[in-house]
Amino acid sequence: MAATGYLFYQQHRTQSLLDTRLYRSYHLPQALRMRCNGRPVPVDENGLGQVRFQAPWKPGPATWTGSITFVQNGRDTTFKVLVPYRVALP
Amino acid sequence: MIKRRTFFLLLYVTAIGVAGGVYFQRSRQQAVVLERMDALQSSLIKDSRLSGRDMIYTLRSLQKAVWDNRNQPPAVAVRTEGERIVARTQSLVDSIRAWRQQLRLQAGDAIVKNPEATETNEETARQLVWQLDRYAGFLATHLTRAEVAVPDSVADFTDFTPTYLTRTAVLQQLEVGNKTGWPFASGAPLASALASLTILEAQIQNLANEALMQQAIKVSYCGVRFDKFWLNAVPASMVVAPGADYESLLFFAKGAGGHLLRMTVDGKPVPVKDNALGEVRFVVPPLQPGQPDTVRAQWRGVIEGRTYRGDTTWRLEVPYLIVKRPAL
Repeated sequence: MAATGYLFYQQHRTQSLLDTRLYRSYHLPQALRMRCNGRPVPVDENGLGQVRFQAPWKPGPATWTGSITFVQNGRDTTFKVLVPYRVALP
Repeated sequence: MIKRRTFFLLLYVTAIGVAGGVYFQRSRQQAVVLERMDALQSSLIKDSRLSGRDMIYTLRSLQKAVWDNRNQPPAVAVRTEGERIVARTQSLVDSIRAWRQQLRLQAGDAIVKNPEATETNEETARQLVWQLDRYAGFLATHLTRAEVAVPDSVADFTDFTPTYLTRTAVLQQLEVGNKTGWPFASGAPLASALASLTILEAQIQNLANEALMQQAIKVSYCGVRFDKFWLNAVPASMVVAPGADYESLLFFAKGAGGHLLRMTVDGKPVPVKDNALGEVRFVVPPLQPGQPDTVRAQWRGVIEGRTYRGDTTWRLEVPYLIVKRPAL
């Protein structure tokens, strides 16, 4: 595995506080299969999946599920993540 | 006749004077040399103590690395070998120190004033050679000829086949059998004998340190160790309008063990959790009267990974918007 060199941050705004996490992305040279809510997601050359979907019309809290599958030691390995977001009127 | 006698008498007195002067000068020079040897020995003893301390530090870091590797059997085997190297080295060093102590006690405190010729204790020397021979055989299986490539993981190291030194090569490095009257010639001044033993102790500790280091790098990656994996998503926005496009990046993330990292935000340290995530939390400055409803701001994050090879630093600037709180 080789590092992509990207440093990412994740930001959640809760009233006047910022809750942010620092970490580093990693690129797996093997074929990556990423999915969002079960649908395939395009993956760029840096191993970053580009997620894009239409938000629901109903305002309120919502979530989507991401998954990544790759072959490790000859076996499929899957990681999953549940991502919360909010649908709100502008 | 009288003149001739006087001349011979003067010659005799001068000759005695010169001989006395030469003898005194030689004694002085010898005393200076012995003083220097004693100073050298003190310095070597200090170095040897530091070297011993280094060995303990290396062993501790090795033990910690094995713990970090979740006590996998190959890592535990490396730790056991490391502990054996330290135990056997300390045993041998203790024997040498005991011999040195014995020589010191025989001479009394003032070595320089008492530069008596030292008799080599044949039995002690024979026992030490036997001990060194066995130790060299043991150490040879842990000392490689070439530089050991730093492995990425314990798993990588299982395929590594280094070329080890031979017992004879280790003994040659310790100069065992290279010269007659080893470790010091019988009749050598006490300071010289003590220095020889101290040099031998230092050589043993250097070799042991090298062997231990070669064990340590089998289980310790020398850079920042990225050992935590998870899938992560970075959305373009946490809030979207109904029916609008939601966008996010999805990627596989790898984090470094928190104990290696120091994180700061705008110069202030950030707590790093065991899963290698730094939790950033700060109060956003309130909007001042007259400011627009939305103000651009940013914070600077720095991650420092500290290793004995040097520091590695990553920096990033994170822009964010401060918005006016909506009226409820």
